[in-house]
Amino acid sequence: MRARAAAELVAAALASMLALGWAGRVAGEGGHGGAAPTLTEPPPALPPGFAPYREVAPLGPAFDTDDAMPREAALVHHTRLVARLDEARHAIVGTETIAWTNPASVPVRELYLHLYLNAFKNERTAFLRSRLGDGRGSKMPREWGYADVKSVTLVDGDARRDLRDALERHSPGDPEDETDLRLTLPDAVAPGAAIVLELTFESKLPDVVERTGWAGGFHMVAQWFPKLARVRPDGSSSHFTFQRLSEFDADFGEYDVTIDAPAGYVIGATGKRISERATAGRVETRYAARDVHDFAFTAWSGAVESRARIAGVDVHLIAPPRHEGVIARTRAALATGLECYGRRFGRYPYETLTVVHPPPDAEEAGGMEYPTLITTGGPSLSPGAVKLTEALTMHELGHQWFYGLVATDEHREPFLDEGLNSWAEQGCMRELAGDGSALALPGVTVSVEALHRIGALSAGRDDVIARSSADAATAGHYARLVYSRTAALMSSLAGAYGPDVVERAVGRYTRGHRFGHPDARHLLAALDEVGGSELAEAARVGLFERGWIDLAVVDAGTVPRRSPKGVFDREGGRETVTTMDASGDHDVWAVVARRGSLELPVDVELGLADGTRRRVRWEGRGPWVRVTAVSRSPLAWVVVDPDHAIALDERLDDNALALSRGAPPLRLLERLTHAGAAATLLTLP
Amino acid sequence: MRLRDELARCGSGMSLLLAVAWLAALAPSLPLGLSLGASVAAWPGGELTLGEPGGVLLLEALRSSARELAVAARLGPAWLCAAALVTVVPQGALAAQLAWPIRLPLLLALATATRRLPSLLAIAAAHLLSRVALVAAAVFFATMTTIVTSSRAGELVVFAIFAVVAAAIACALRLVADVAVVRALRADVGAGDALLDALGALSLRAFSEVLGAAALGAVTFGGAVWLAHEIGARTPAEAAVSATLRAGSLAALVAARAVALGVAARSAT
Ligand SMILES: [Zn+2]
Repeated sequence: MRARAAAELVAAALASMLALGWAGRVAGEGGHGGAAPTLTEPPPALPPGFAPYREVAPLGPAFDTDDAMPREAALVHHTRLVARLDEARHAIVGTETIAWTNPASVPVRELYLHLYLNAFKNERTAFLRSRLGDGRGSKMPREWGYADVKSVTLVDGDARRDLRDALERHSPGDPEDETDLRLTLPDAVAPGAAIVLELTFESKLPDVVERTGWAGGFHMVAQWFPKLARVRPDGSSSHFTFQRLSEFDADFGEYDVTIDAPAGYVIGATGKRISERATAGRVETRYAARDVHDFAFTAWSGAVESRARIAGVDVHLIAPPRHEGVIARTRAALATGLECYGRRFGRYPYETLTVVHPPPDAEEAGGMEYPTLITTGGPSLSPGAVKLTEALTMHELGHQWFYGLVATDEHREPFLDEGLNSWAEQGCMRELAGDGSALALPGVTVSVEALHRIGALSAGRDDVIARSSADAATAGHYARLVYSRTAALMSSLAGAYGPDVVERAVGRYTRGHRFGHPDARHLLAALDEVGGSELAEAARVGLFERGWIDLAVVDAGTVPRRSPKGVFDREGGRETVTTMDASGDHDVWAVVARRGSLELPVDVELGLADGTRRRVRWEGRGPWVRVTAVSRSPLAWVVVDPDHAIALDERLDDNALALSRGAPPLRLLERLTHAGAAATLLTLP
Repeated sequence: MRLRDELARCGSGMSLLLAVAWLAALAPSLPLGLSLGASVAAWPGGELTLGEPGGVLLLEALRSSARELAVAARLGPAWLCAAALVTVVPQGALAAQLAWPIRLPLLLALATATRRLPSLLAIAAAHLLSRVALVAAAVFFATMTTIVTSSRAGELVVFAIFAVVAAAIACALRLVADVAVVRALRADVGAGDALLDALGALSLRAFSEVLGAAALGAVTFGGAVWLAHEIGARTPAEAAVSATLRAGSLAALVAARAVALGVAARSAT
């Protein structure tokens, strides 16, 4: 899913500053009485179950290529859905049959069902009650959305057992929320044993608030059916109250879905279309998807669809009318992205990809990812210099790997999908558009990396990156820490230890854990395995300990080398040297400081007055380092990190020190003439 | 009263007022230029520029400017009021007294002369837009100076083009507006000869501004490219050359306007 644009973040920050100021004033005037204010701190940063990454078994170099990569997922469920779209009510009437195999190593009796649409049911849901500031998902629906389970039946051959009464609300500490339901089975299911559940349900879509819903004839049908929570190896379920910043976590399975929609609606869905059958005024379209952990579709009256074969994948593009330009740019991004991500993180294994560009009045449905289906967005006409369309497409496509194929827990460790994906997106955007991957005017370029750097630093030390989506301080923190700071941290690690090292480590992690459910330990273990413990440790500090860094040149100088003067006791007796003998050489020196808790190797460059340069590598362990050298020429300047390798470096204006004297007055004069030019232009009659 | 007499009578007073206005306008531009340039100025000559590929330093400069300007912004309203007081008010007073063809009094004179509100509004809008475009030109010139250490000509070309285009738009807008005024007045029998003469001068002056802006752009642009290619890294001497070039280009602009005003005065006699 896409974080809000930088401009929106700025606007939101300003709005919240104003709001805070106002609230503070009201509170100050107050004395309204009532209870004392409640204080809520986030839980400790280390998530439950986090263990040292060194205990994780190494993957080995076999996963540096696609050869050893798993070809298919271990299927935990086979799910058959029949969905009839009531286009007038924007509702889905459905039946669901789940053949579920216990993937845990212990018997399981409790299963959890997510009814995500209930987040939009009333103003008391955890989602709509959230106090996270403005931004995505912060508006109230005009039409409520909900999901009703009409029946739950356990099917065992001919025997059918009604389990409706075994289904109960279960949102810990949140009795009003209905997004998380517990289903207690009559008997525990042994490891590897299977059961079949049949459900009937009705899902009412809200108007689009976030990700899912309708707008006019457009329906983005996502998180729409009762969804089994993932069962972990220890038998526990990855279930949670659905909150505004939560995304998802599910087991791999196989979907067989029949969508019954009015004739003339454009249908696009997860997986491969296998049949179409027209009945009176309606069309039943059947889709099959394997090795995926979710199923979403669009049913859209008035959309324009096109098909293309891109990088060996059948791509189905669905957009509003008059979006040809955007679609052409989307295709170009897909062509680069499918190849780029495939090369870096293992090839795209599916035959199809569906891309939905929602209509302008349903923007919040855009910028989202589902297995083999992504939604993009943006205006139909935007200048080619601004790479919004491309970056959005690239981001959502990247999610096919980061959460799609490497199915991390998006709710608990969102940085593993959004953060790693933002970093991965940077690289593929660079392959598509070079230095101007965000903005490319002739002569002036801005990269996605540079934008993430600014985002990362703006919320930098407020919180750790590795925070559950339920514990984010604000929506802005979530965007800046989970997305931007993870990306900038990974960039910094690549800058310090070499891009090839970090690329290989993440590639090994994504290939080795394809169709798996790894967590932060596995990522750190891969970094440790490929790049060594210093790299892994820096990543851990950056993710879990609010690690930060500021590199600065503190001081520098030049001392001409000459024979020493003074009193010397030598073999022939005491000698007093009064004349000096200059050799023409210079001792040059500089002191560079590393502030903060992130220890990263970095280059220091000395510039000599004769124009030559000398570079030296500092491992960056201690708080500061003294660099000395002997040279024919005096020192002119010193720069630490001349290539901007450390994206997280908090300030860049202290990274350089120029020793040339006498320049400031002239530079000031220069700036004065410049300011004078501006003043003249403004005031001449 | 003839324009030449007015100029002769009030030349020194006018110069004084313009000097005050100029200093007032300098006050807000200076911290802006300094804070924008600070992060680049810290780097050794030629090492880095705001226009380096990828934009890391450009965004860093904007970030640190935002930080520093946040302090200046608190003084903003007071500063703006002071600047307005010392620029607009005296100029307005002088212009009103002399019927000097400066925007506001001109419009007032026109309002009494023509009584054609829609065309007056259009003229006023054109004048306003021309001022906005002129400010944009100033901003682009400002950006050019901060990146003049670049060793690549590409970015300089871009900013120079922006600056010249913005200045040209500003002047063209004013020219169009002024010509429209003259035509409207010629059609209006009630307009006095002196005013017509003044307006004729005004159009001439607008034309001269196009030339002046082009000269300014060409000199600054040429100087910047020359600096970038011939010198590369910046030393105190280079800074001095750059400053001289800029001062020279300003002098060219002022000279162009002075010549135009002289021509206008002669034609009005
Ligand atoms: Zn995302």
